[in-house]
Amino acid sequence: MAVKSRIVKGFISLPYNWSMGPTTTRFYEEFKNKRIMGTRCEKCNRVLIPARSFCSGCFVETTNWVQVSDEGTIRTWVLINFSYEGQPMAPPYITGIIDLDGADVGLPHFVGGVELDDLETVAKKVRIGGRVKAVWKENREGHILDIDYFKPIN
Amino acid sequence: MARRVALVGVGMQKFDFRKTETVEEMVFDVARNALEDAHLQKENIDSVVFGSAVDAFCGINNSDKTAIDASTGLWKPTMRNSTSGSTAVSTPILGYNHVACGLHDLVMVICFEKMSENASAQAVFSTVYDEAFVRPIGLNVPIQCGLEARAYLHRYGLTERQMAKVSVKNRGNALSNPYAQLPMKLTVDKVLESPYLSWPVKLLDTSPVTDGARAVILASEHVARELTDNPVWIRGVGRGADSVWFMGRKNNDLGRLDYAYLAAKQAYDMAGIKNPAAEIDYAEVYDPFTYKEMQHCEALGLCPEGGAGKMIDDGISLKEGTLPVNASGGLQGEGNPIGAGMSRLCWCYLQIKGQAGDCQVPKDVNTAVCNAWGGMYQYNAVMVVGRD
Repeated sequence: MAVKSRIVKGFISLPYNWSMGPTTTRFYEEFKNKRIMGTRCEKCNRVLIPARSFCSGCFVETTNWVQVSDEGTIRTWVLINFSYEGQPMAPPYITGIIDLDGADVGLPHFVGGVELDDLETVAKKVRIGGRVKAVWKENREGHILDIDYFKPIN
Repeated sequence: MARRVALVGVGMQKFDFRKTETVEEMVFDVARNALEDAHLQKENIDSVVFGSAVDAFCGINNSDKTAIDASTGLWKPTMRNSTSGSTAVSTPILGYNHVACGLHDLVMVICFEKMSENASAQAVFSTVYDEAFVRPIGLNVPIQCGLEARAYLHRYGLTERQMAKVSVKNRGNALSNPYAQLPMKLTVDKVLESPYLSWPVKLLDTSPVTDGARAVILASEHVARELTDNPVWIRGVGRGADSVWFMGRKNNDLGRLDYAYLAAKQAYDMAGIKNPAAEIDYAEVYDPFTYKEMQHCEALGLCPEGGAGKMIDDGISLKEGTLPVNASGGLQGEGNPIGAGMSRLCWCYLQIKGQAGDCQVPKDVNTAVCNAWGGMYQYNAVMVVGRD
């Protein structure tokens, strides 16, 4: 019997209860107060965000909490113009890596508040080394998206 | 010619639902414990090998990368291994290969599994089957093992009472193990009265889902001799695999684990062991279900084929028996965080070193064997360790 190869449709649904640990939990709790807190490694002096309980470079626990700025510098950025299943928002939008003042680890987040119609105009407002500041949501739940986006300043 | 490889340290932690830790933090704990045990610094480690069976347990795909920072693996060659449950022993075998071939002198092997993160381990297990033939029938581990257990008991004329004795032994042994999740003082009747999950497998024949990690550090001969006067050597390794189409194998009787006999023969040939029942002093045998300890004791030659019932009846595998099996409590008593079943190897090491604490058996242990099993009756991995 000649057949046409069939496609079997499937859907995998697996609920999770991920353990955050107290260090990461505090990092996000502080977002409710618009505070970005990192942990400082006493050995190498790096400030880690999200706050982590140990420094992987030095292999020691990190218990010193320090506040870092919600302003920073764009390390790199990308304009997203394609769609995929589970995307956080409809394209186009900009994602960047922000080096917050006082932190030694970059923060991946959205860069917003910029008209996206004309690429040349975008590139003038959003650039590597450009300064940005967090725009916080009114209702904050202790989540990375309590920051709506980072807005170019100056 | 392969170089000799020694175990020079282990990293232990309690198996439990470790809900105040991330995967990374859980791994950091055992990596540090292993460095401390071996009197080494993170800079001494040349390479890291990870073992984790199924990413969907913790819900982070390619979870090996999550462990790099926590493992001493930064800026070093790392590699992840996964052969279902047998990851627990095939991962230290991969680490062994790294040292034996001369590539590295000190390898950190870390196995971990964080099973409490998902809402249903059996839902995860159901995704390891093919999409169209077996998965729609709803097979998962207790069901698959019920089928296998019945075939095994039938083939050799063994009983649920003998299975129950393994549960009493292992959960009782776990009372002496500070890292154990589920130590219990049981009776055979109490096990037999526990509810059937998939007859003939009962709740108390089954190892508990848990979270945990284990680390071992492997060293080349010259490094091991600098670290210790009397190293514990890896004397033999073996692995076997059988068809994923388990219902159509050459040996259609699921009661006999051909692939486990194969893995054991490789390891014993390499170790020069002719009569394991006489030459092995101690065994940590993979026991996710009680009958699997019995099957594995046979495949490992610790008793004659079909003789595992008599072995438990005669008390041979008790802690104070002539060939103690799972004095740590095994997976039944210590908990079964799949990949971190490498604990079986850790306990062989601790018994040989005389560092097994209240789990220490009252006899000299020079040579020990451990194994791990995984997949849909697919894999077995065996390791023989011992003194010169």
